[in-house]
Amino acid sequence: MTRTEARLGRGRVLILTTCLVILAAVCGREAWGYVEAQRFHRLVEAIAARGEPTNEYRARERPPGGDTGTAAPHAARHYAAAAELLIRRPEWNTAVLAGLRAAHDGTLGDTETRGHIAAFAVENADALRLVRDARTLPFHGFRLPRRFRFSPDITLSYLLPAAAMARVAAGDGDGALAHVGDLIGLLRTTASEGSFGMIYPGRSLEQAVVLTGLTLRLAPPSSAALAELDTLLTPAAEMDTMARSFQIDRALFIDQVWQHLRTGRSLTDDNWAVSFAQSPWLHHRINGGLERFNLLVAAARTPWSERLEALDAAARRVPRIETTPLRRGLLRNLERLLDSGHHQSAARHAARQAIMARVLRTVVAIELYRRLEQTLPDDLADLGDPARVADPLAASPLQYRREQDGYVVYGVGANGQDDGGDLGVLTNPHAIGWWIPPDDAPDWGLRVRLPDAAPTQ
Amino acid sequence: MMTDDEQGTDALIEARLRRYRPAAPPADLRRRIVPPVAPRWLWATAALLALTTVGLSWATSRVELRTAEILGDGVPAASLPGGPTDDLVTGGERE
Repeated sequence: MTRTEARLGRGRVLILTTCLVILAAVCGREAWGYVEAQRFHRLVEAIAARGEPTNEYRARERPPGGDTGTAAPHAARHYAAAAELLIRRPEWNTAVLAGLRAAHDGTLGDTETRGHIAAFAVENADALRLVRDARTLPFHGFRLPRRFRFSPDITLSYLLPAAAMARVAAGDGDGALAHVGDLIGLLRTTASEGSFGMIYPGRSLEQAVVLTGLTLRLAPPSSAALAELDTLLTPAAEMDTMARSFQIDRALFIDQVWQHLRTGRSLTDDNWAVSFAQSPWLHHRINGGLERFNLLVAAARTPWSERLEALDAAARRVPRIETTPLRRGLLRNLERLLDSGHHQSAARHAARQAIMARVLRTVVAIELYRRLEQTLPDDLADLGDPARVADPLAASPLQYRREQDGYVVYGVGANGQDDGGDLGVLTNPHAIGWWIPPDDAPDWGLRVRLPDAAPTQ
Repeated sequence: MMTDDEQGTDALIEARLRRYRPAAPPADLRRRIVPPVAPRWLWATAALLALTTVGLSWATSRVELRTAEILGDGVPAASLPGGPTDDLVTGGERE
């Protein structure tokens, strides 16, 4: 029996010791919380010092003159206004579907279809004009009223193909290519709105590829219109938006976490006692997530040839399928996002977009060459500027192969090596005679069947 | 002068008292006299821990205030009344 025990009695000593241990634990929790708060502060400070967004809503830069009706015009306002016009016309998507079906079935030239989708273009002339005007304006990011359930660019990515098809149906190839240009401008300016937008299928450049093929086949445009499309597709005009997208993701992460920290809401779905006890541990995980986001942003800035490997290295963890029952809570959702391989897949999508843009540009150049020389070039060097045909993912130029009924232009796929132009199983041959490889194809490119060639499939 | 009876009674009482009052003082006599108060070192430790806890909590709140200066209030501007409308169609009318 110790002296204290002798003095106080065993029961009292036990109670006092327990109180002391609890007090020490609370003190330790505060100390750890302080360290993690400092770490969070330093991370946020470093991001802000680099001039990168730390708040998703602030990231959407306020345009000169504010947000009211007197603000200087900027592309986001025009896109939002055009989408708003479409939202108010609930019947608009039936025309889009009719156009898509006609393009797929090869019946775009039918009188009935033509009338249907031509009327659509007339009805939506105001929205189309807004989108056309937006091409020359700066984009400040969307700051949207709550009534927008979808980002306007998603709505417009239906409008513009339909408008292009309407032009094709009317025999106006130049007008159709101008709408394709609008679509490319839209895709490029709005791709910086976060990585979820990057992987949205409707925002894919392949829409522009198909529409260009459709136009060349059914309503041949003038060489001037093709040259303008070529200008839009220059690598200089290509905005490298991946790092910016990841920064927006990170800003969203910080924003959500910060609102939870400020309001004292739990980051998990545990009860308040568990949340209180483990909050430093949760802050520790938040800071870890933020550091991983920093690595992803840094990797997204490396040159294309190293970027996919750098992103894989930054993600560190192998994407896994969760076998345990899903647990809710903000932090778990955020960690699931980081662990899911989402950013790697977004990067692969962006890499494919970069390759497809160069492939489309090369195909446009080949079509221009074919108009002048009445034959296909023997080699891509015949097209002039070698920089035009550089493969972004490889040190080599794009590859070109003549075939019996057309030609293939391709670059290396996600595996970074030339697989001899293996575009995979072409499961979706379009009526236009242009074949686009699936995402998992060994090489990415385009197979073009010439209009005057005998059908082989 | 006491009678024998009286002397005998006193002796009896003495003997009985002696029987119930041990000669040596009890072992826990000190405990009976000193009130059961925890030792000073224990009070000091508890006070130190409590002060440290309060201090750390205050320091954390200061750090969070500095973070708030960088991050702002984080309220989405679009959800505030009179926030941005970005609306060419309705000329700024909000639903």
